[in-house]
Amino acid sequence: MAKEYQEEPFQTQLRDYLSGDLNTDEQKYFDETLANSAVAQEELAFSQKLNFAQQHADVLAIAVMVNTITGSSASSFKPTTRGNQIFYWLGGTLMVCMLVAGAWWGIRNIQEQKAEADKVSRIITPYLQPLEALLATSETAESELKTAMENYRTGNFTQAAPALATYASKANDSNAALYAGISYLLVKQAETALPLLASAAKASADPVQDAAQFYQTICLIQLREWEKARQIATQVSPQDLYYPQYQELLDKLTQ
Amino acid sequence: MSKIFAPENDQELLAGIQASQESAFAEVFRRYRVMIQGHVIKNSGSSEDAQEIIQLTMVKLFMAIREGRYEDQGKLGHYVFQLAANSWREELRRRRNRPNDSLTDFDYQLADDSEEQIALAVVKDKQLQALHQALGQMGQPCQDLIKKLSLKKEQLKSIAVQLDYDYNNLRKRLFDCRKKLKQLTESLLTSNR
Repeated sequence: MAKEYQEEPFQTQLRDYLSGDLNTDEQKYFDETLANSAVAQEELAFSQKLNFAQQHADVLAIAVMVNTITGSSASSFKPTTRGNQIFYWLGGTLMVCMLVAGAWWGIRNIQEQKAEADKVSRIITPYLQPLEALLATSETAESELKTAMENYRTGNFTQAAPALATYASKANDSNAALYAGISYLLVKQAETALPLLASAAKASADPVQDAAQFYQTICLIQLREWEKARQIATQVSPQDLYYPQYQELLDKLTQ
Repeated sequence: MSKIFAPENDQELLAGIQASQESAFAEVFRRYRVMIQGHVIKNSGSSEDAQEIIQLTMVKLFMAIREGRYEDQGKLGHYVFQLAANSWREELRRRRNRPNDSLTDFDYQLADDSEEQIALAVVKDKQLQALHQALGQMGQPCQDLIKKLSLKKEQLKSIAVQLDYDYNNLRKRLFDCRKKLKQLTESLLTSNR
């Protein structure tokens, strides 16, 4: 039924209706058809618009064009009152200031950290040397200790460190703890080295105690614990094996 | 958006408008948008109202120049503002008198539509704009057929004879063209939203 209104002869009647070419009876009949059919009404409306579009094609072309022009600038149609403008300006300025401040602080922070790292390196580099392997291992000493010390002597501190630490804990050996701490310090694991050296310093007698305390001080400097390092350095007695080195450290720490 | 158009004087701009150059309309928009927008918003309008009034003003300006009703006396800005202000005043009056007025009430059949009514229809009726665009995208045979039947009011039988077509085939072709036109219009209307 719908298709009937989209084809001849209805379309011919529709065209005659629009152009006023129907006689009275035909017009009356057509009006009845329209009244009884939504599809017919829809066809009429479409035909009316189609005729209009063709009659005023030039003006419609302008309307489509200006719609495109204004549509592409639609976002700029949001009104900005004077108050809004001030608000947006202030907000924008504040954001820029925060970004600049954040960048400045970040750069400054990085520079400070680098400066501190340089300071640490400058102070402790001369002292980051392995202690002579004086730990005597007899023929009857356990093989794991022998192996660990062999690694230490050959400069293989990565292997020596955990092996010596394990042995020191198992055998409660403060000498092994000293060398374990030194090994960890030399492979840049100061946090792991510190408790080993601290325990060796407490439990040992000279000269192991002096050595352990000195390397403990180096560890503290490595970890930026300036005050603790300074405290140890100022409290050593002149009889300490490392007294001259402590004085050098104090000079550098006060610079 | 069109390329930058920098007319040396208003006459050049008006010539561009009369020739339907997009760049000329873009220049009008650039010059007078803020003025019109400010007027509409200060007088109870929204930003959407402002956009519509700007479109209406540019269409009316085109019609006035085409009909020779605007004579360039160095007061183009003043004329444009008057067009916009009148359009907005009319719009407010329509809203007061007929709050639910829509273009479905517009009689597309009237032969002597006022320019005001024509401008309103072409700006506000997006389906009409989509129909215009769809017509432009149809193939030439369909365009010619539709034009012959609608504008020239020729009978289908005489068109079949002119084109040396079988009448029944031509009927089917017209049915297909109209169906395609409707589908294209609906598609454009949806994508333009």
